[in-house]
Amino acid sequence: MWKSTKIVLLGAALCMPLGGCASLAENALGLPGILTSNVANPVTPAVLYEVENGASVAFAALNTYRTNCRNKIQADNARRRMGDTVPPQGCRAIVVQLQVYTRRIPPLLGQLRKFVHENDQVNAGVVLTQVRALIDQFRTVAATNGVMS
Amino acid sequence: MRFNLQRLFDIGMKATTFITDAAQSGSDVSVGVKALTNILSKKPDQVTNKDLDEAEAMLDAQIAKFNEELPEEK
Repeated sequence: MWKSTKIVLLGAALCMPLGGCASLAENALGLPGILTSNVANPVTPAVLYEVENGASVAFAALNTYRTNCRNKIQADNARRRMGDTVPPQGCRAIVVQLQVYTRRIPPLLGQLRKFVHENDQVNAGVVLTQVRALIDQFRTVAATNGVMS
Repeated sequence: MRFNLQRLFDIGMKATTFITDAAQSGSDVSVGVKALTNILSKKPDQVTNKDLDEAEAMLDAQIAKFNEELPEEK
C-alpha cells in the first residue's frame, strides 16, 4: 500500500502545479504549454485534456490521504465506543482545510470546459489562471501539512 | 552514454506489473496511474471528444470524492 501511495505522491509531486504533467508531456511530446496560455499557447481541448488528467493525478493522491484518514477515524471511533480515550486525528482538520479550496474548483472547471468548447480563448485563459491559483493554494496547504511535498 | 539494458528491462517489468495491479485494484492509485498514462500516451492531435469526456468524468469523480464530508470523531 505504501509503495502504491509513494507512486501516486511522486506523480502528484510532478503534477501538482497543474502544469507539471503538461510540462513533462511538453518536453516529451512537444505539446503546447498551459502555464502561459496566450495567443501563441491557446487553451485547446488537448491542453484541457492535460489539465484534467494532471488534476486527476493530484486528486488521486489527495484521495489516498483522505481514505487513510477516514479509516483511522473510523477505527478510533470504534475504540472510543469501547471506552478507550483516543486523541483526535489531525488529518481530519487538514482535509477540511483543503476542502475550502477544492470545493471551489468544480464550478470553475465547468466554466473552463465551456469556454474551451466555444473556443473563447480570452475567458478560457482567465479561468485557467484562476483554477491554477486555487491548485497552488491547496498545494501549499498540503505541503505545509506534510500531505505531499 | 551506455545503458544497462538488463536493469532497464527489470524496471520496465516491475512498472508493468505495478500498473497492471493498480489498474485492476480500482483504487485511488489506479486513477492516478491511468491519468498519468493518459497524459504520456496521447499527442495533442490524438485527443478525441471521447477522451476528453472520460478525463472530465474521472476528474469530477475524484473531486466529488475528496469533497465528501469525513466522519466526525466521536
